[in-house]
Amino acid sequence: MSRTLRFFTLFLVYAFLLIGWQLFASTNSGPQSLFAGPIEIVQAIYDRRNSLWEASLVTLSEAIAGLLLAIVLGLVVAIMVDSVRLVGPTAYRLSVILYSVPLIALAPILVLWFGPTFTARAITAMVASFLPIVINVVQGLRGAPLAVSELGESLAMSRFAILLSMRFRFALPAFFASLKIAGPSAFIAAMISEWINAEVGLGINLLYSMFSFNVEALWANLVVATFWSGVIYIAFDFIAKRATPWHASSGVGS
Amino acid sequence: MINRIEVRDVEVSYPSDSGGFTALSGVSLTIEQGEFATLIGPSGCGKSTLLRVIADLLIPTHGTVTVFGESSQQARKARRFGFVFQDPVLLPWRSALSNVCLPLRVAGQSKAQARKRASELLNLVGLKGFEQNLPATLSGGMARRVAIARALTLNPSVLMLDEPFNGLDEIRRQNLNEELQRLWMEFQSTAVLVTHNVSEAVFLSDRVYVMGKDPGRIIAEVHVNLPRPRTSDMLHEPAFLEIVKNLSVTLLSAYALEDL
Repeated sequence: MSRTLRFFTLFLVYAFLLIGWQLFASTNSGPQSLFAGPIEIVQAIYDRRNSLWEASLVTLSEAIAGLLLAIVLGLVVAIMVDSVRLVGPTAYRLSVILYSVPLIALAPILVLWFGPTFTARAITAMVASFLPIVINVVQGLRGAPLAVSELGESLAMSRFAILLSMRFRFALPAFFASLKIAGPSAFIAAMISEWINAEVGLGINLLYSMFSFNVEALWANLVVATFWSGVIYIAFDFIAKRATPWHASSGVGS
Repeated sequence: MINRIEVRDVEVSYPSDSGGFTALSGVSLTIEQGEFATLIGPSGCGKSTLLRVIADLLIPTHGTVTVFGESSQQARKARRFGFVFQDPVLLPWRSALSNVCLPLRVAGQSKAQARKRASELLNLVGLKGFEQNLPATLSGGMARRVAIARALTLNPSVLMLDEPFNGLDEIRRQNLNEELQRLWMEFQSTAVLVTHNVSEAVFLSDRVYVMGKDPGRIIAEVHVNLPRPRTSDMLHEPAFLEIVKNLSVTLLSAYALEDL
């Protein structure tokens, strides 16, 4: 009963928002209008489905490549911060500095280094998304019970074996939680990188649409980009719940 | 071969600018092979620290530990310690059976061998039929049984018990203590228990070391010469109660006013 009610309420809220938006857009319609209603946007997306799909594939592949790099770099740095006392703190500070460089300033430098290439865009996406992974994984590793490490030591396991086979498993929920942040960040960074360094992609499409004053195309791109960003989030949420069924956040088990 | 655990002049201190902190000072003790020994004392007396020093999980500032003729490090590397922690620390993603398999797998046994041995042990601690349960679906008492089974898988020379039944009610605690005694006798291992429960200490032990604090040290050694196997009926017998009373009096002197 309450479930049906909740669904119904949600439905009403969304319907109200969409209709309101449509009405607002319709009253502001005309050749100079900056607003496109939901119907016009859907129409625009449908009309451009092929080019939007092509652009999506480009941007998604940049984001995914960047995220994969971020996962590798993030895990390496997290393990260093956790276990290598000599370089851990330095690695952490460098990560924070790198993450603090504004993307819009970093992207041109990467273009100088790597040319206007896929690599430069993927690296931008990596830089924008690796620190959440580092922070969450370090915290997750530290959150593993001390007695777990002691259990491993009492069984003469190496520190690395304890880290990989026991403590990292405790950090998995935090790792997946970080991907829910890192994934959309990588996607946004890939789009920003396209502004200065691409011919195809959702990011550069936005720019083209803006300069050509094509309001419907701009909105269509915006909606599609938001959609993919959301899909990335939902995908990691889905994976997290199934990969860590023992964890409270998954709502399964305990 | 020296058939005892010997702790000689152990000190554990943590230096700091404000003078530092001495967790253990001048601790010496002997535990004979096959004995059930208990460390009892107020919170903060370093009894868990001492247990960790014996098992080479913590390296003392001074002093030596030998375990049946080997250094504690050699003994740990040879996996001679079976540990039961305060919290059962089962790996939550592994089933009960798989948790018990862990030490066997670490020691290099095949999966099939490990599973066979682990199910025998689960059977032994009364958990037949719960092999596939995840820890989250086990009761507190059952989780501790799994932890005991895990500690016993490699037939350890020394069973290390760090307040293993903390937080369980009286009845279940007594029930598990009887189980523990049975397993200890069956495995003929040496046991070192940390507890702050006097009755539990007397029920299980051959020898009780009473510890005091500031700094953590041993203030008395009490022998318990009650026949085995001990049963819950004995808990009300005069001989048992007499030892409980004496131990309580000794222990009371270890408590500072602010502990009470």
